[in-house]
Amino acid sequence: MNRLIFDYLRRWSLVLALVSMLEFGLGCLLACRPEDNFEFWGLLLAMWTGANLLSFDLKRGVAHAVAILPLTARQIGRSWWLATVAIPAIVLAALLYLGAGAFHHINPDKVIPAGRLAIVSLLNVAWLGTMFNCVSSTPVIHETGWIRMRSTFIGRLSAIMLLGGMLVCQNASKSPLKSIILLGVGAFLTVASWFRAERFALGRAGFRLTVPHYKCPRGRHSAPGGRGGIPFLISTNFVRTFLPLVAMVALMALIWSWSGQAIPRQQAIVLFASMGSFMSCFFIFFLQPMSVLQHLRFMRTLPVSAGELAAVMIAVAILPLIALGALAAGVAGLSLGTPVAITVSKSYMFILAPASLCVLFAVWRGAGAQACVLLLFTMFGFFLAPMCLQGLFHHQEIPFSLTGTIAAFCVLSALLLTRCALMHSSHAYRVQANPSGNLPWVAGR
Amino acid sequence: MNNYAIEIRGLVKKYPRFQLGPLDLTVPHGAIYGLIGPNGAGKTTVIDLIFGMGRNDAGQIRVFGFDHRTDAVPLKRRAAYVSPDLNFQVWGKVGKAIRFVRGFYPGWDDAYCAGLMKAFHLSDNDSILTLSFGAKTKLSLLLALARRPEILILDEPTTGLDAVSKQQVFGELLKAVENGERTVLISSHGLSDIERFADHVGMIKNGMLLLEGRTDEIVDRYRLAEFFTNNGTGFQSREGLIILKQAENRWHALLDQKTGAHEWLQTHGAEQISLTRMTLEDLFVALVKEEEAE
Repeated sequence: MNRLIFDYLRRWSLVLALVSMLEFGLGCLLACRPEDNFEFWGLLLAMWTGANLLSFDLKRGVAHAVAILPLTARQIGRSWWLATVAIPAIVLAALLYLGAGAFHHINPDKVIPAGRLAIVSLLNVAWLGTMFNCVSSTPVIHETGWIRMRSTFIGRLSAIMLLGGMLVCQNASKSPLKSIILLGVGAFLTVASWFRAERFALGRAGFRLTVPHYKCPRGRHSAPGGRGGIPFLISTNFVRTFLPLVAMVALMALIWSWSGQAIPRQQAIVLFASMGSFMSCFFIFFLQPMSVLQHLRFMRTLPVSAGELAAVMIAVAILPLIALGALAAGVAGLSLGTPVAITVSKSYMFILAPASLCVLFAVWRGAGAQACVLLLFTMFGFFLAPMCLQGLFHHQEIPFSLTGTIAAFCVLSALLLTRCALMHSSHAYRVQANPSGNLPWVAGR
Repeated sequence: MNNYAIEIRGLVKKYPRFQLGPLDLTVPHGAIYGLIGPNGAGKTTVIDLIFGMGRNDAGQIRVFGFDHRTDAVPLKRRAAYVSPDLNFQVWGKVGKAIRFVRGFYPGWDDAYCAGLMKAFHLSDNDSILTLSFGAKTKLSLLLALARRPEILILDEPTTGLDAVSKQQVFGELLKAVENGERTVLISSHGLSDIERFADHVGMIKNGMLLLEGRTDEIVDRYRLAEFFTNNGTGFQSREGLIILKQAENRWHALLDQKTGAHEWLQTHGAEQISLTRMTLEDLFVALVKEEEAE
């Protein structure tokens, strides 16, 4: 078990070291400005020390590689639990207190907010346990009935906890109700993740654990009706992506309205629109990996030109965002008025820029770690960019024309460069180890 | 149009630690061409370049006269690709994968597709995720054959198949090409299959073509020579003669009959020369070993 833990920590040592420095800084900030809200940043840092990193390993087939080692599934799962939940939780807590202590040492007049640090540390445990469940609570193929329902329930609860946590975590350490809910659900999920850790190796190794049981007679085939080809690809992907996105944004709106916001209404609307569009983009590239990227090798052997294929890939990524933006703007317009509708539509228009660039990077670098880093930088960069632009233009919001220009420029550039990458780059065509793992919501299950 | 289904001239593709070519390779119309070579020789790179996956640094690839870069779409309408690496899992069900691919080919043969489904024991409602490795390869082959392509390009199609499935796959391939109108380029490590199945063969190693020609001619051309020497005569590899093994005065060598190496041995002190017919696999091992020794 130790070898697995050390192997994981060694491979991710640079990322963990960077996050550790940032966590130390967060401790300093909490001690310096105890009245400010830093919970969201705490959540982000916890995400990048937890099972999120392990999910990149899983995409590269590590589960299959370790499953054949002389270790039980429970040992493998619990090793990873220790490496991605227990150890990071202890280290993050220590760093928070160290950071606060260091600040107090330099500024002895400042009091260490020990209680708040404790709640933030406990929240870290909740985020780490939830992340672990998000990645591991996949119903295994042979599971049925109650066991499958239980896996699905824990998986869904973890997703809701993480999504809801992002929205309501601000001020959580100051609000007893929020703290109780987040810590209660988080504690349940963390404990559950320990007892269900062995599923990690079973569920993610990609083994076909059962002999296929065919329900219909062999050789049955009827000529398919309707259109196939590209229209079929686009429509199938659209439905698979759009419906979960609508559910996700609706859930976010519910949590958002329930939790209430301390910031002014207009600012809250802008923030919610930005978060909704950002999460939608994140969902498309990380939670529902674009199917067209997964079988790009096959797509390239079909009679479709590189330009057409680039256009299809970008369309598959941005069409659900456009439709969701239109729907969200329509609902916002009807319920809150035209200015809010414009704010929402601008936000979804702006997110088309990183979405199209993410397609480019995924094609250019393939499904490896480099592409993941590029995608994350692009998404977070474009999430923070509006704030910088607002400061630059001294507007509360970016003008509609500027948003449209940026989005159009990025989409067109991505189209041309993706075409180029399809013709020149070999990365995307190299076969990846089960790029989507066995995520329950991934297309094709 | 010339007589070649695939014509590759001066093909070069450079990677940081590997270079393919310069490579010249020709696949005649209606031939079943076996592309063989050790792991990492560049077989898949050649196939990838035919389909425009990555760009060559020099040279030209023509398939039925279509340039692989400027006429990519018409080329791909005529060519089909089969590999166990192809990922259809995103479609979930076999029927959906068929519907998707069928949409690209107006000439899709539904009756033939139904026949292949029966032969391969696949059904529309089968979940692709639960298909065995062999069944996935069969699905890949079905999707390629049912479009009635003029050329089939197969990259390691029999990897992971049991003997029965292999027979089935080759049986369907032979049926598909029996009228001689279709061309097959098959890259495989199963050299006994290639020897039985392919009428032409090309062998590449480290990105370079070692030999190319009709399979029967190549197998006929080389012999395993066993001979003895007295008085301590020594031999070294030379044109047409590759020394494989020596134990005291007993020698084993690969002999190219076209070069007159047999006569040369007789005149240079080799005695009791016995020549044995080799399989393609023996020849492959001998040539690859000789390259490594160099």
